[in-house]
Amino acid sequence: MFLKRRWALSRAILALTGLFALLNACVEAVPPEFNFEDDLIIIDALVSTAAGTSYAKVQQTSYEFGLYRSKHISGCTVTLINEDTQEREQLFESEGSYIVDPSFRVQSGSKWYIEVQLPNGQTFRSTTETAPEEVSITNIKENFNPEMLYDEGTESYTSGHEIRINFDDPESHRNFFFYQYRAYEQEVYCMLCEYGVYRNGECLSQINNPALTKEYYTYLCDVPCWKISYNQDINIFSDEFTNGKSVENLLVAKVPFTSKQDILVEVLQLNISQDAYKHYRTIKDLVDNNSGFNAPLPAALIGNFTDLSNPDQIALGRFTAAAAVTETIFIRRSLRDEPLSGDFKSPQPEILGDPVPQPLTYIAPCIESIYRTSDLDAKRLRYFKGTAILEGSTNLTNTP
Amino acid sequence: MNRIQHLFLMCVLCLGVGTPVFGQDFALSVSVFDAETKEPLSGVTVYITECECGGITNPSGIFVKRLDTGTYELTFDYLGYATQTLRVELKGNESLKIGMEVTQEQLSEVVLTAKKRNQNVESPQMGVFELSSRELAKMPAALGEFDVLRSITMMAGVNNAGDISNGVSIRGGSLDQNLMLLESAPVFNPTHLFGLFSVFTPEVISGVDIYRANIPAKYGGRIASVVDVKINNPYTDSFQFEGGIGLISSRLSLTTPIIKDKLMLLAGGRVGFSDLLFPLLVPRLKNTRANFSDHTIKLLYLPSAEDQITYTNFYSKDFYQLDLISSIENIVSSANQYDFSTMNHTLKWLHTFENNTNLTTKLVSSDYQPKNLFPEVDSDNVIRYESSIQYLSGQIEYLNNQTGEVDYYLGAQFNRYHIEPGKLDPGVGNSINPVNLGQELGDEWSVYGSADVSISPKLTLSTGFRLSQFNLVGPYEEARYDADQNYEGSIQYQSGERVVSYTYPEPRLGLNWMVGERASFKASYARMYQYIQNIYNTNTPLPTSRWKISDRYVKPQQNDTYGFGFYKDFDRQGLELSAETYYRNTTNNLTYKPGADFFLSRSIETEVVQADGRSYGFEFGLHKNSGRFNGFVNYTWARSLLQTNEVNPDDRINNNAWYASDFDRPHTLNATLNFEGDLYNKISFNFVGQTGRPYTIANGVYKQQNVTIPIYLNRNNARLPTYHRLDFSWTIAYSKDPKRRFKGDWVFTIYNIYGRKNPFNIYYAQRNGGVDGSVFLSSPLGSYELTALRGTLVSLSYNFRFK
Repeated sequence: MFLKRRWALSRAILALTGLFALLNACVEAVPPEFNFEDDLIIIDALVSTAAGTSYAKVQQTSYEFGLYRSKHISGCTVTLINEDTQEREQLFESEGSYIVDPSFRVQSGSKWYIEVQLPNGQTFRSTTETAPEEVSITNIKENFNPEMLYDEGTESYTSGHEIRINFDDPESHRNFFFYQYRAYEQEVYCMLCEYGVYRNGECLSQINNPALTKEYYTYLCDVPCWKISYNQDINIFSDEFTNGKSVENLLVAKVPFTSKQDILVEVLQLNISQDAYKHYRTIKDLVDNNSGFNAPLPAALIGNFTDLSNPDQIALGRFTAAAAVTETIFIRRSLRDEPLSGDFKSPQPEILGDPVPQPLTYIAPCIESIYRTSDLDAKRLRYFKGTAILEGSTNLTNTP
Repeated sequence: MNRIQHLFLMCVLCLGVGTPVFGQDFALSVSVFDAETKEPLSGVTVYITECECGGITNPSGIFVKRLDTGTYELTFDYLGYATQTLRVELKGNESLKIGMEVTQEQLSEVVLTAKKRNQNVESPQMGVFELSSRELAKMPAALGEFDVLRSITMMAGVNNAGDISNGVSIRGGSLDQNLMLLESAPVFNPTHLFGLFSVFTPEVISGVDIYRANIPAKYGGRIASVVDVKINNPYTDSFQFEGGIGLISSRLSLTTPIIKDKLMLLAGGRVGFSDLLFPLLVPRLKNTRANFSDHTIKLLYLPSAEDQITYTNFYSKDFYQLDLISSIENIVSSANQYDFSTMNHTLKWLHTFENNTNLTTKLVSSDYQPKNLFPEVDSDNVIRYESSIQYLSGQIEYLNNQTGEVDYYLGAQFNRYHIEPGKLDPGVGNSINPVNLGQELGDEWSVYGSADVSISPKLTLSTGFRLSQFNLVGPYEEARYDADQNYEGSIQYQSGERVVSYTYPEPRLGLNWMVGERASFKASYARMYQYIQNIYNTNTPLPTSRWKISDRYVKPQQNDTYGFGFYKDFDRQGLELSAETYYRNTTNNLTYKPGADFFLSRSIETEVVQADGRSYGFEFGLHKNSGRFNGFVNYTWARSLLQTNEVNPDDRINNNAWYASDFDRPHTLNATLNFEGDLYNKISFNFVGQTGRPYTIANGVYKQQNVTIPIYLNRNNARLPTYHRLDFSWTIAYSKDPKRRFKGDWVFTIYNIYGRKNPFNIYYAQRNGGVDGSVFLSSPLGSYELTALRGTLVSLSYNFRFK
């Protein structure tokens, strides 16, 4: 009798086992912790052989009003100096960056360093970098991957287009590459107000409006407006194992499928120095490779700047001289049937009868920034020919 | 130096072989072992009625006596085991095997208590654990089978990197500072499935010894500890098998005589196929492939009454592809696969002289071959990264523990390390260039001796000395650097040419002062050197992490351990109390430089920093080994710190200040409670609690294009939440009849009863719109906690045994 009872219990346990005996890893969002230090200076500067790509950013860590961030330091004197010719190129401040004349480009083989003087007189100088030779991209292609990225937050895969390139690696010397992309797609709307409406240039909260039935309203752009997006991961490659070979199918960009708007992707291949490559590889470890069981442990991001007033102090950031090559690919996302990734909100304009403050409003301005432009040049615009470009609404007014 | 070693070896051989042989009488040799575990029983009293003489078995469980022709009655007595009497008619040399049965009325731990009673008090050895398979089996395991590495983390001073750990940390040391031995052969990768299971085939293990303080002089080469896993001796005259069926793996082992009383075999294996399981889990693991297997074969040959020859073969194989393991850069492939194997051989000859001293000769080889496979995109070609460690060793040791006043052993050992750090094979494709990093050859010569001396009834001294010499020999290409560490070129050494040599004395000392009959104070000191290290910059090394022998730049690691302790047995209650304190001073601990990349690096010395270390702590243990309720409580307070001394600010870790090592766990509390109420049910609870592992949080952030980058200035400046969990194990035995040949047990375990999510790591992630906004609030980065085990893990396995 007792034996029977025990056997029954064992069977019950076996059934339980089938349900629960699973070995699994788990990822859970937790409040981020920082050991934040104010007033750390970080300089990120690049000069390249392509016009319009050189810049310097001077940032300072700050903790204000409960926000951790790095803020732009205005009023710096930033000078590029050619070590051989002593040619000096002054950078000027523009939208949170320091930039050179749009036509400025460096020659391959030229040697440059940069000096940054803060408004308080503190001066940082980089080591000298030599701009490498350009390496052409011989082919660019894209493929749609329904499981391109794993999103820890939603515990699901994000679909998207993977951009792959081919190039012939020069055998004569080692090459190190850093990839960035910039993508243009037409904005479907220029403003989205959650639990609010767009009035007088801002979203006016309607959270206390008991009659409100819609979670959000969208507002068309007043002119054709182009969204600019950038890479959200770090893509690097060294010819450590491929020197002199044809490199094929190298994954250089991941463009999330967050909209069905056709998209123009410009891949920037920066041929950089070995030291610069090592720097970006460390960033990649900090940003992209930090989530697994074998994640490289966090490391200090040592750059190539020296604080001239305190040479023993670690200076953060890096100046890089690069040979830049751009290749473009146009992706017709409008032809895809797959569901979008992410939280895309369909257009939902105000309509007559909505319990919102009058007058009804339909449009919002396309405000120029690094994430948006209305001034897409003809060369880029050409790719969108044949696709339905949303007409601007300049002939509309906000009053019906 | 080599001449001195050879001379010593000759002396040892002469000492052993030259021991005199008396008269024409015959040798009676008896091997005594535990009938169930096959573990040799040391210290069994053997009494021969006719001559009113006898003795005790040696550490190998062997007793030898020369006697005239005649009939003798032998009585074997050992506390906790049923006394056995045997009549022997001696007409020639005779070899007997005696399997002693645990007395039924006394449950298992009584035996161990009896055997070891007062050993912890009387021995001058400090910091040692001896766990039998029976003790290991009682500890609740994650998936229904006992696991050596998980079990030893219950001991004081033993930690790991978390639920996933490719090894253990002992007294704050790194994972590679432990000499992990299986039948004297080193195991370079001790785990399956990236640290979830030990590689040691469970059924064949007879026990594990862990030395952490004055490590015996016979061991060398690692500075933190020795973990010596032992395999059962297949003493048997009948076919037996046992095994188990579990969710992740299934096991089978058999023991059988091949030639009666001469040749016996033990073979055990385990296979795990997890491919089907992982896709059922979280989507993140859907592409996971993870298969493993291991086997252990041991042959025991008894050619004469005085000789015992064993051959052990161990093989372990893993193949996996894990989504939670990041890719290797710069090789364009569709996946990263890991394929690695260990093949060990141990040949051991034990010769026992008539005075019961013995000479042991060992030949050992260990071959570890990790590989990475990279299937190319749009092609059938597979690019292969391969590396290997081939270890060869010869050892001879003479043991005399029959005098009572001075027990001693002398020995010599030669180890050869042949490391191929890495080869990249492009296969049939043309997309990459082949890479070959050459080889590293290292010879380690050692002579050693140890003596335990009873100075007075209250004072025992254990002295040990090991002299080791390590030579890095050619062919070898050595890089040269200028004063600013700039590469200047390289020097090529020819085959056999010595590149660099290190010779170090390694004294060991232990002192035991008895206070009354059941208490003692102990003090110990040991110096050790390490000539091979595992290089990695992750929480726990990958099986493919690079191993490196010492060279001109990567200096041998040195360790001085000082210990002091108090031990007391409470005989009536069956309690053992121990309190140990230790201080470890280490140099040349290996740590990585910021941004280090070790994969196929030709100048790995430029990627690492050697740091000073100090670890200290206090370990308290209370063990109750007998009674229906038995178990233990261990509490440890300990620190483990490192400090670099680099001139270049970029190479300094935490600006050369002392910082917590990855294994700094100030507080650890481990407890096990067993309830052995009747013959059918055994219930155990385990509790593990320890301060969270140090990890690194950012000191700031900045943006580069659309990427928010964390800035780190100081390493290990925060701690993960406290690790704790409670486990439960219930073993249900079915066989009422103790004589029944087939027995089956169900083992039901609940790992992490209350579902504690112990984080393995916490890392930052880019903000993705409003996802998890209520948790991240206004933070520039998101943050996620990676937990190896999601909540409670319930498992049931069926174990069977046929005798």
